[in-house]
Amino acid sequence: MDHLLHLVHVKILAADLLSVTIQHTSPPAFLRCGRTVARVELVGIVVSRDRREKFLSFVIDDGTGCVPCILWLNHQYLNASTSSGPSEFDPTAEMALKMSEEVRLGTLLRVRGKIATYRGAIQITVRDVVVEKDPNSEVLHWLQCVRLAKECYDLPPPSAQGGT
Amino acid sequence: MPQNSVCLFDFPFQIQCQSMSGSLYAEAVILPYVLKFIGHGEFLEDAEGFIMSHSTLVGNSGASMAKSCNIPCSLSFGSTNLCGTLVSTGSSGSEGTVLKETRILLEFKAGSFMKYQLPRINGSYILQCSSGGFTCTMGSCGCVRGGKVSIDSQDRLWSFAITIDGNVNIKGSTGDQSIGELHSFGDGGSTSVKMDGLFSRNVIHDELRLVQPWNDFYRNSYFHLDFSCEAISKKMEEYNTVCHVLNGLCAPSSEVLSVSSCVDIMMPKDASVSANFKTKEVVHGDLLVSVQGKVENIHSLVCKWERCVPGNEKYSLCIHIADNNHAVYIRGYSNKHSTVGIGPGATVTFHRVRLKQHGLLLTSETYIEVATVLVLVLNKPTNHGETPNVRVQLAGFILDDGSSLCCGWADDARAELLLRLQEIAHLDASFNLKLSKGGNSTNLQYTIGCCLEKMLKKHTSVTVKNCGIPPDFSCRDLDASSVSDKVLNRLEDKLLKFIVLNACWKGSLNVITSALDPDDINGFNVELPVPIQNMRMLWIEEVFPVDPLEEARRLCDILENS
Repeated sequence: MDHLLHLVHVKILAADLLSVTIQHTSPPAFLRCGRTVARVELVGIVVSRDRREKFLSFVIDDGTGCVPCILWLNHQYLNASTSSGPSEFDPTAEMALKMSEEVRLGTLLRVRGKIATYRGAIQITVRDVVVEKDPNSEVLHWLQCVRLAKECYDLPPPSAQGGT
Repeated sequence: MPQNSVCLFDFPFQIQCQSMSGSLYAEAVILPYVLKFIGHGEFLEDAEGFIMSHSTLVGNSGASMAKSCNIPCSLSFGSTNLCGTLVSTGSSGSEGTVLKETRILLEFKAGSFMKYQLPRINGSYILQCSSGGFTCTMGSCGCVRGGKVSIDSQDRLWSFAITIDGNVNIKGSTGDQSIGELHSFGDGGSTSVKMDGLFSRNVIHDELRLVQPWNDFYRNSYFHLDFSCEAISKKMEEYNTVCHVLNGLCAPSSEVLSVSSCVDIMMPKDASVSANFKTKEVVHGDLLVSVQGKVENIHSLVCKWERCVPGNEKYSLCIHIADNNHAVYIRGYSNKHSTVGIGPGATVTFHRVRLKQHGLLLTSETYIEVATVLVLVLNKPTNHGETPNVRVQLAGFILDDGSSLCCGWADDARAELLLRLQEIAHLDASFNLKLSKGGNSTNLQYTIGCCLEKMLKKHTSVTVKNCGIPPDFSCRDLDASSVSDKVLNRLEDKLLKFIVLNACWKGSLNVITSALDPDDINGFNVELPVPIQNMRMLWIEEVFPVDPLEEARRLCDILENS
């Protein structure tokens, strides 16, 4: 496994993300140009939003594709089953709820999270969302995706480089 | 320019300074010697605060540095003459310890420029240690924090020259004719030296020299460190060791590359071209070079960003330089006053520019996102002003720039920015109720720093450690503790967790970093898990927000020309 890209949030466009190769291992792995990626960062507009009791699902459109995202809001239920103590003293649930309120239709968002699959389709399990007020952020993200792809992501894995 | 001598990060260093804002930086190397004075007197009391230290040479000189040094000498200042001894000292302060190179950053704060406008590259200086103390050494010196010494108008920095029986002795290896001739010393004979006014070994006609010639430097030095011929003859071996060390500072400068040479290294057609430079250094951007070219254009964009570091204006800079065959760009962030003298048509030599695979960068590194907070040490501030609310003694971060992770360390204002302490703490009403007096101000919003201040009034110092493995972590991995006898209550624990999560779940920032020696943070007894120990360790020097438009323009230029 290529641990370098596996740990970072790869800056990626929707079309690129939706075309990663899914390795049906347990847990599933995702390959982009032969390199394992696990975490991604996308910037796009919210075009769909569905709020449920335990999660918020929404779709991000960055102009190259639409990526489904899911933001879990069930931390209080998870914490109740652990020994970490009452959930009201863990800010995670509260902060996730606040993030969900920032996901509104038409908003430009920066989404970071892990790649996952649901019913065979790629989706992002969201770690955090940041509202981008400056529209140039989207263009900057595109340029960062291109540059990082050229300088880092498209390079062959270290094993193929002879270990250098 | 030798890598182990005084040199400047920001270039060129100005002679005439007008209204300056922000700091200028110079890289220096600490000499591993201490002057011990005998006798008494008012001046002696000040003299005990002096530290003269020196770095060792890399490579073969290591064995020689294991020998202790104890040479009688005198330090003359005007009509005052102090007799003393030059003693070698290791990083632990003990004599005879094998020395290791100690590189520091000198920050010349705004207001101090007129006083220190002529620090000389390759020059030697004495800095008065603010903490005083006769036995103060590099490792324990309080004026060096995080490898940086800040110099303001109150600090005293004196140049010194080495003399033998009152005659100036130029340090410089034989054959380095641009600096001067060093006559070998033997049999107690005196030396006479020739001084050459040229700074660079490469004579460039019509070169604008912004520094004084060596002979002027030595003539105008505040101090002369004098060795007597008789003393040297009795301590010849030790004296030669000192000279060897000092000469190492004036080792022939690294080759000044042409623009075409840089291009060949960045894009080698022939494997042998890059054989002189480690490929890995270029790939990781670890290669610092000197490059000379003719300036064709220079972009300096006014910074419209909100100032994160008051008084410091950083500009995105792009300088086009060329020779007869190729052109390259040098990019980075710099203080706007650093580019005086650089314009189209000028032939300029840039030192300590970072050579990467796809370009040249002013010595700075940028990392973008806080992935995780590793360690947080918070103290109650000792001053009683309105700001800061909190003193962040040390904070460790895992930074993610989309290509790799690294470990960044910061304190004070930089850490506060990364931790977003200036933001409003969006915690629930119960938390605000607890903070506010009278219980009737649920609508009050406090900054995170303000909330911490209230907590630290009770606990004085708090440490938060992240026991998780980056980049993923949860609040369960955070372990918060107080140095006082009091236990953190649930709300205080919640606040600390909120701070960590908030720092990680926010937008991007730009940081400027410098290399960090892990030993520098061991004073905080930080135990890092193995995956983090293997990460690149950086000290965060500056933090400022990302300007998407300017960043996009810069990236566009890079992509167009790559």
